[in-house]
Amino acid sequence: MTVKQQISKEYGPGSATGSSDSLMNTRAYFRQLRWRLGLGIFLCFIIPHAILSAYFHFQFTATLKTTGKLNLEALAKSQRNTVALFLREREMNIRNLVFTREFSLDPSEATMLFFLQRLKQISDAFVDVGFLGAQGIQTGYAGPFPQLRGKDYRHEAWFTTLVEQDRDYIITDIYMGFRNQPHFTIAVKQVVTNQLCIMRATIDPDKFYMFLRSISRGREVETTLINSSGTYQIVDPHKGTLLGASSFLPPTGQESGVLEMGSPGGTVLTAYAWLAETGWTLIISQPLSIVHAQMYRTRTIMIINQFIIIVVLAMVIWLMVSRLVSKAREAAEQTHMLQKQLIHASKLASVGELATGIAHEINNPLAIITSTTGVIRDMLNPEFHLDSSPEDIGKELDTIETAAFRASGITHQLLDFGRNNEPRKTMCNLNDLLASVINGMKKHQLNLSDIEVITSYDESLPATCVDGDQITQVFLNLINNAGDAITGKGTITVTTGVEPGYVKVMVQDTGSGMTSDQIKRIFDPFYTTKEAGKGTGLGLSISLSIVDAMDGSIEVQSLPGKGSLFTVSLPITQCRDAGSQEIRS
Amino acid sequence: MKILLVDDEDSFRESLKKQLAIRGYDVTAVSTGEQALESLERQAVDVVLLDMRMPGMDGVMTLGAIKRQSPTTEVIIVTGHATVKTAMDVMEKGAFDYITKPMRLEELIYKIQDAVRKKELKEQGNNGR
Repeated sequence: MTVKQQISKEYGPGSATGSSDSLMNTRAYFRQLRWRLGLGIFLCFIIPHAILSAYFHFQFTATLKTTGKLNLEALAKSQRNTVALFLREREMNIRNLVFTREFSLDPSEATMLFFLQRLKQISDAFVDVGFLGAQGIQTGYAGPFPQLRGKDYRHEAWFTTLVEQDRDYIITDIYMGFRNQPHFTIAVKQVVTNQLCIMRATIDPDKFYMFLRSISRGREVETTLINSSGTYQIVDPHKGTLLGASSFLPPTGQESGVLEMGSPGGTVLTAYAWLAETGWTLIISQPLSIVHAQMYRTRTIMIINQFIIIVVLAMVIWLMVSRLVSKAREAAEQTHMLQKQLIHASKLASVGELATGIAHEINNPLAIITSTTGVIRDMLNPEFHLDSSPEDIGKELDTIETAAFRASGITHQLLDFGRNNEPRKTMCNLNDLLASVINGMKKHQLNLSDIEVITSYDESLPATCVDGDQITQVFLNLINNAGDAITGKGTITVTTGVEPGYVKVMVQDTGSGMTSDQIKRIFDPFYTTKEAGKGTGLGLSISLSIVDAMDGSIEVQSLPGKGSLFTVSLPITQCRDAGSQEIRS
Repeated sequence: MKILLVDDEDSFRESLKKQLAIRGYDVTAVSTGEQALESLERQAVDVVLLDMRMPGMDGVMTLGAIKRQSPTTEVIIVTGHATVKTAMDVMEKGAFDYITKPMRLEELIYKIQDAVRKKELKEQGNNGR
């Protein structure tokens, strides 16, 4: 049976650095756990939330865009209707003049003035009023252009059209006319006592524009009227000039419509509605940003709300996770503390064992000294008639001396064991250290014995930061033990090798080997399998504490009757400087 | 008076044997518990001086075996270190007394004499019954 025992640095002497390291590891682990857990839960909440939000946002935007278009088109239609009504009303106002008491086929100037006053009372858009006979001569006029009285309108387009058409009124496009100023004419023809007569009035485009402005609702809504050939009839002075050509002519196929148009100031939503009466189109346009302003505002509010929800959610999750994780961490740290206390307790126990061991190991040679002293005293006592030759006494004194040195050897080793000095670390090649240890031993201990030492060094072994003296002592102990385990003929094989991050030294012997019970105890101070006086039981304890302090480990494999294998693993480190500090490579 | 000395320390065993022999004791010295039992089988003794820490059978085990083999033989434990607990332990297991190393010879002899006296009393009691 092969018994393998890993002596972990957690449980060896000098584990203080190791346990604080692992405490840091625990803390790091829980920090990481808190992040992972928090993020995981947060994402679990946030991903469905984000998908739903995106979906609703998309739907909302699409609906609002459609609604915005429909609204503007409805506005265009309603304004168109208002304009149509306005024009019809003005036409009716003019028609009604014919049916007044004051009307005659040859109206006087006063009558015309009365007519104008009456019209202006109804609407301030009226500029002047005129009366024309069937020949097209304006016989009556009241208004700011008196030169128009007596003017011949026979060849004017509106006149000929009105006379020829079936419909008894006409509303002209805007034109300059005799007065050389833009205006509309509304004219009504009537037959009075078998005579065709025409009552006409003109409308001030500016006033008409003001009227349009007054009926338009909404911010930055621009209302324009153009005729069927694209000439402005009514226009915002900033946008164009009367009688100028419009850049946009809506399609004639539909009674109304809406479309998006690019413009230098951004995309503009434009709605149009055709007036059946005059063949004009009412166009209203509004920047898309204004149309969508409400939508953008709602969207901004929604985004802010979402953000607040997410932040609150994140905070709640973080708080909950933090509480949970810190509880778990406390529990883990408590376990860790208990473990540390256990290690401390076991260390105290081993101090107790140490004391027992010291007492025993020192009292034994002292007992030899006292009893041998007693023997000498007996030899010198004439009562006993014993042989007291100097040779015999000398032999007894040798025994005393040997015992005294044995006791002093124990105290020396004990000092080494108890010494807690910072190791003096330098870059060492373990191959060289081993070679000098083995050479030294061959000269002395191993010289006379039948033990063969085989070495197999890994030449690529990197140097590492260790205390050369201390590690030499470890090798010395291991090779000494190997030698002691062999009775008679045998072999000690010393091998070095590299593993990722570690250098390894293996000391194998063909000696007596150990049982699993023995292996469990070999690192205990004063535990020895050697015969009395040969071993103190401190070698492996000291070796383990040295290797431990270097963050290494000692592994034991043994088979009773076949031999043992000790493997020392040391981390490959670089000395930071010539001093005592080191860093992990 | 026959004494069996059991101790794995060669020098101690030899010197103590010499000292006791010169004072008229018939001392047999062995180095292990196993040897002690063998020796007792061959020849009974009055008192056994028994070391506690020995390779193989330790003092406590040997004590038990001796007491089973010859209950009247008195055993004095000789130990490098004794706590109250180990003392109680060995006394409970039938040791006559214990003494810690290093010890004064006079003290040891005193204890040996006590043990022998006790043994004789016990034997008289047994014979008288």
